[in-house]
Amino acid sequence: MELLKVILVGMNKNGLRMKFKKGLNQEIVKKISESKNEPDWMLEFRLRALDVFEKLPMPSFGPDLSLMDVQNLYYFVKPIEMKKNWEDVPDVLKKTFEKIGVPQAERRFLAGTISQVESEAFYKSLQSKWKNSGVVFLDTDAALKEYPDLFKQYFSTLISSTDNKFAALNCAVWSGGSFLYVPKGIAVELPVQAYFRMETPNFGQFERTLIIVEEGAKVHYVEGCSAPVGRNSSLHCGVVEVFANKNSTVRYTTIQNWSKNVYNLVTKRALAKEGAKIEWIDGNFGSNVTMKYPGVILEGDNSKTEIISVALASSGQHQDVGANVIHKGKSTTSNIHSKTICKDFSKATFRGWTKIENGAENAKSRSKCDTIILGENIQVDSFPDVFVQENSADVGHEASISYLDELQLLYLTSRGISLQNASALLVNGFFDSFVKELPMEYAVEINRLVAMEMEDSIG
Amino acid sequence: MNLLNLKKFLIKCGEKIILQKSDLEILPGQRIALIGANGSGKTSLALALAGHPKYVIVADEFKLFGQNAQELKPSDRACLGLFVSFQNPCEIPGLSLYDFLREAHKAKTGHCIPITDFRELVNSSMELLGLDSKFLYRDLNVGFSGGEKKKLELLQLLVLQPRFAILDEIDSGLDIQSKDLIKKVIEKRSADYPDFTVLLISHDMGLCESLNLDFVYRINNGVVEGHFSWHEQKRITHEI
Repeated sequence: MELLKVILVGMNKNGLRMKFKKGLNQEIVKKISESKNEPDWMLEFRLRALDVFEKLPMPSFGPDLSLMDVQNLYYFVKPIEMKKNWEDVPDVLKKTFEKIGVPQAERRFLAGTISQVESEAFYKSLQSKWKNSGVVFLDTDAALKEYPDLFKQYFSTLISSTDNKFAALNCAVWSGGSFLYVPKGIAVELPVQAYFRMETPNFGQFERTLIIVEEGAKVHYVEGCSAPVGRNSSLHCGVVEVFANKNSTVRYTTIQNWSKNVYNLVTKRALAKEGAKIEWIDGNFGSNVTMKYPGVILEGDNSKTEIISVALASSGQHQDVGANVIHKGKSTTSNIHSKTICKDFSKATFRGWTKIENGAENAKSRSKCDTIILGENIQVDSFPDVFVQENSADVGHEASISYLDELQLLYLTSRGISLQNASALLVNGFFDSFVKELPMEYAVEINRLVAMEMEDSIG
Repeated sequence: MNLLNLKKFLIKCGEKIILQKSDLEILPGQRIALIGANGSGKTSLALALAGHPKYVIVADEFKLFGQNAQELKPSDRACLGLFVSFQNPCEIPGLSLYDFLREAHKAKTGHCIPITDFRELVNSSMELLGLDSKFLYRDLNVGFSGGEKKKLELLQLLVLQPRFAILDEIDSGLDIQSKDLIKKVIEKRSADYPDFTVLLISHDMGLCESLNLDFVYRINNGVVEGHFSWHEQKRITHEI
């Protein structure tokens, strides 16, 4: 088949293998599916989603997306084939990922890793201990081939192409992402990590992640995202579906530090069955515009969720974040805590959306939203929406917006600490409840990131 | 060289004048008490000297360690050797006592001493104060009792080794046994550094008595009055 019109074969500095023409149309969608040798049902699914994408309007709320041009993006870029050994990864990529600390982290504190640059993963690993106990940790493309039934049973059942315009886009052109399956009763003690990186300007990354955790199992999935600073806008538009079966525990940690020209529009949702526990730890530091509202459906009785969402908005950034929770089961509990720091000329929006359905007896929901503002020309909004259909519900929301405390700053500076360091210590302290939930390497990285951001905010 | 020179100064907080028409002069090695009724402006003076942006000092001359203090930020003043204990020490969630001490010590001394030396310094200071070393890993001042917070202020004094300490009601909240610690800490610091200077803000006559004060300043009707000897002061207080 000559459908595969590769416009760039050969090597550039990244050893680029495959890059489709810019633009979004049926042909591109077919080419993506073709290049992956997908089954027919997936191609049909993609084409239907493209149709939906074209019909759905842009979101009626939130940041201005009018400057984003979906026709001016590359939808599929594949620099290298999957490598078995880290040593075989081309030097340029190896250096980039080593600088971020990915392979070092793998050796020190992870049970498994997936590394993706542009559209597909180029390296994956899983400790044999977990492989032997039946844990599956693959890039999503490989999972479709190797576990077709399991894949089909769960794929897009939580987030359909009609969910929102950008979920539809992801459904049409998805590529890469991670597929994690943890069998019944298995507790994966170390976190597994996926790292997503974008290098090509004007590129769209559409990773698709599927996490299935069986009864009584436990896992911590960590996801890091970054991109180098470039002149042209890129789009990151992921979809993540998490299935937590009976009495399982899933923790999903995500830290995005996209460069400040990236539109980060992602849809993430988890389903909790009876007694399951879902924790989202969501850190937003980079991007130009982020729209991200991780959602949890507490379907089973006694299921719980804890959502900690942290954002740092600096000049020109709009962090539009929040959380959605739907309580369906009895005695379900949700806890949302959002913490945001805003610097000069930034915008931060928190959207909390909680619904307690009829029959969700004794459901309990708390949300708290704290913002510290550093500087001027800042817009901070908090929109807590609560829909209660159940009389026994116990629901609470609180929000605060403040400057850094003057007396706290004096206390620290009167001990010799510079104003800049004192501010960084206070901001780190503000983020502490989030940072201490992270694996150590990430915690160190976040502290460094905050210190760096504080450097240019206080002269 | 005077440690502190304040000539014809007043302290303003917004439009409100808290202290006025006063002079204050402190020499190295002196031990001085500042007394006055509640609300007379003692704490305002301490905070203004620390560099609180809301408490503005207007003076013909305002020198700290011989330098024009108007140009010194709070951190500069601390690095030169000033230490102001807080009457109500701030709680800082998310910052451990240990990280705070390490950061402050690094800033004050301008370099990072080896971790073992630093631990030795902190541990011996905590021992002197009878503080549990577990406190190091708790958030700074969060969830501590009033007395414990005051001991943590004394701990900072021992670790940061200032030349000039302003102790604002360091005794309030401490139980009787612990009050001896204040004297112990001051004597320890004076033994290490004979020019160690103390401005003590206190209502506790016993404490003042025990410290062999050089003299006393008193705030009366918004004016700092001095220099009384300790015995003169007692007589005046008695007469009132």
